[in-house]
Amino acid sequence: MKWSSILIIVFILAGCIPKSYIETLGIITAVGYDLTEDQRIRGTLVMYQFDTAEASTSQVVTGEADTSKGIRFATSRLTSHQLVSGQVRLEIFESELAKRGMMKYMDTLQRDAAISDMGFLATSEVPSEDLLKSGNDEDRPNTGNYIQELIKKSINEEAIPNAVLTSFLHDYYDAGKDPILPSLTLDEDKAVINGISLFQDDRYVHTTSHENTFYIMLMKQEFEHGQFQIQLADDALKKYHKKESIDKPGDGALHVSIHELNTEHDIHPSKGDPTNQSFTLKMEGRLLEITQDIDLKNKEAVEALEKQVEKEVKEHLQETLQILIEHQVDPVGFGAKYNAQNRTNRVTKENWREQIPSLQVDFDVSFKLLRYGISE
Amino acid sequence: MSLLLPMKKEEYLSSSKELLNQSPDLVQKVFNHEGQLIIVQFIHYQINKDQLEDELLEIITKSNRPWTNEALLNKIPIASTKQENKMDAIIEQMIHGSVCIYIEGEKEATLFALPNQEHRSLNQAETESLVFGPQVSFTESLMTNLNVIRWRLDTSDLVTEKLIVGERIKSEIRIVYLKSLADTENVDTIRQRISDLKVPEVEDTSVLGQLIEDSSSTVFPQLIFTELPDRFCQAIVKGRVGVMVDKSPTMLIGPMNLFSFFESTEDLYMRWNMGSFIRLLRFISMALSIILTPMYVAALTFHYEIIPSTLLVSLGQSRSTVPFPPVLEALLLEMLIELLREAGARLPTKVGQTMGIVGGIVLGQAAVEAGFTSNILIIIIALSALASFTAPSYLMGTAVRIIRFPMILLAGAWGIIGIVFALSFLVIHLLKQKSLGRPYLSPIYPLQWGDFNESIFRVPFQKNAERSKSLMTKDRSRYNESKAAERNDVDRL
Repeated sequence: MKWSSILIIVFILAGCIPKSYIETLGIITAVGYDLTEDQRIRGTLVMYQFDTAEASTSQVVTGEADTSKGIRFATSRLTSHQLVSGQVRLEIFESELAKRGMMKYMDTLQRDAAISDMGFLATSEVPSEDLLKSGNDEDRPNTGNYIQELIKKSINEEAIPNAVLTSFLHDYYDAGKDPILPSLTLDEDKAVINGISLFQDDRYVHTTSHENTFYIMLMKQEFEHGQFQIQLADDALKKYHKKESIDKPGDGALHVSIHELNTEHDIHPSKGDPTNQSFTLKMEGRLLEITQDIDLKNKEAVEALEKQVEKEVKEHLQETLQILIEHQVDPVGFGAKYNAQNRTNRVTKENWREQIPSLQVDFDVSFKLLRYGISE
Repeated sequence: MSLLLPMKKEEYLSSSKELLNQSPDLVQKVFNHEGQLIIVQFIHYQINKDQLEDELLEIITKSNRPWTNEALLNKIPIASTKQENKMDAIIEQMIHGSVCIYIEGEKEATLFALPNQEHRSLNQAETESLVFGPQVSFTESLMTNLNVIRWRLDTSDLVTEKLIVGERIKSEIRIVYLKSLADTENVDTIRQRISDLKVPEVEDTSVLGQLIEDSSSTVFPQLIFTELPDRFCQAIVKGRVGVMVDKSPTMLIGPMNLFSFFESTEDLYMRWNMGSFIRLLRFISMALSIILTPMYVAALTFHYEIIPSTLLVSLGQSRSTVPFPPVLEALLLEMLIELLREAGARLPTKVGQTMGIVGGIVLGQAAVEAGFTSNILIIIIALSALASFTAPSYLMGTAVRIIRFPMILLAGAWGIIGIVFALSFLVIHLLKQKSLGRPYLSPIYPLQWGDFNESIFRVPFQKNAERSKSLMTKDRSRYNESKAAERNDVDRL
């Protein structure tokens, strides 16, 4: 009796679970959201579909609706496959749409348990439809896959900050901190990263240049194996030019390229005042390229080089901070850091936005050159 | 009421024939010796004829004095003798290879054991083959097998208890253990279970094993059957109990736990790190063998989310032409592999190889090309079949292959929930099993860290100073560990 009831349960209840055979599915891997002229959303879905004779396994479909699930409904008329979102690994929002606040379009990403929290988010300067339909995808299965790999690689190389859904949501819900996302654009029919976009809460405000991206990341996170290039004043190391050099060693601009960058930082908010903070940054790296002939066997030359880099980095950090203040955004989380250490005069989502313009940060940068290669 | 001696010559001869159902093999010879009638009876193929002529008949006929039973016992140089007066006991002894000599008028007949058993000599092991280590296997003859074991374990501590089982056809059974080591309770359990048997006959050791094991409803074997003397002896010196059955080339060892079915004697012959690695490989391959195909079925039927993005395209493409749901596809291929295995096992070796090629390569290739199955499933099925063959115990490998089928069905019905359900059931089931009343899942449950040394890993001999706790040996310590670590090399620094 016990056994027969178990068997009956197994085989009768089995009918209650909807089966989703992989060959009947249109598996969405990337989604793009754009704003149409009549203020609706146009969704572009990149999906895998496995047909018996079809050589190509990917398809891109577009539909218009008012919600993101509505888009799926609208696009389901365009394909014989059942659209499912369990493999969505990339969501792109056109910046025009992101300006209106992304959370209302992202609701389903959080709410639908089938969607991975580790999918990447990005904004796009051109309509995401153009991005996902662009021709050059480096022979990957589809453009969505190409963009996803591009973002993944850039995050691993510490060229852009982490852009997964959870980190975006974490920054969004944290009082005194704003999220940032990579920004994409088209370059000769190929999707490329052109910087990072800054957000006030979930509203897109500005896309920074690549250079500022590095300095924002320098404040936001600690590097383990990053790299950066910096231009120093042309005659900053004039004293240490090699004497015996045949060419004129001091000619041209002085560029330094640092690799294997390892940083540690510490933010100290002053007690009771979130707008007055100090920032200590310790950098270590390996010199791989320098455009003037400097005598690096001389210890003083190395020290002078380190001093110059420290000075330049400090200046750039201050400049970048001014850009952040100008757009009233705080991706670094100075406000959140203040909240973590103070119990009075707490920062909230509302009052921090007003306080950002008066934010004062005192930067203290130290740089150590670990190795500089053969100098002879 | 059986017939008793003494009786007249004619009566004796006819009653013997009667009791042996007029067997044409019964040889009856009457000598008239110094006025006595000496009747010699034997079954001609059961005895050693050279010995009969040289050591028995010649002495009897050359003597010039009348024979008595006592004279027969004293004068004839054959060690194994017996005197009987019951006719049916005499007939039974003759069946076992005795020559019966009856002097008419005496109250008893004298029996001389001159058995002539046809048996093969020691051969190379077939089912449990080793790459590295002793190759010899047991034979069907109990005496040869006992000889091999005595030779390997030459100590007076070795006990070979004799039991006779079978109500119609009797089989001799030996319980083998080391008296100073084996747990008395284990020995008693085996002895009691065997002597309690009320069966007409015992066909083989594996039949005896099934008759005395703890649970007959499970697919998991609870006792190890082996044809390797070295494996048998290794178990005995660890403190286990062995059972030998006459006329069977397999021996039985108990008590066992699940992990001992994945131990090979080779693990000991190889260096400890190789041995541990290979043993670990077997555990992993068992887990893979059980999980891999159900996971494929579950992922392709319900959980497309868990398929890695990089695998999605190739999986989807190979699935797109298959006309069946994944459960059916997997069951079909599993059946195909089982068919191949069974056909290969039944056919003679030469044809068997051809079968493997036809079945494996031609069928597999054609099935994929016809869009009958996906090629990824072929890889998975082949891999899990291969993995299941790594078990040193053939019965355990078969058990693993069998439990795959309900798991595939459950995976097809309920997806990963079904797999978890089946795995939980499996663990509960294993926890309930016993081998000779000892826990089957030890040393995991009950947890015995010390026993991991031998059963899960294969630690260096220098570190393995203690015997397994779960075997309850009388002497826990194998040697003094600190003394064993001392080295007295000549060039010691």
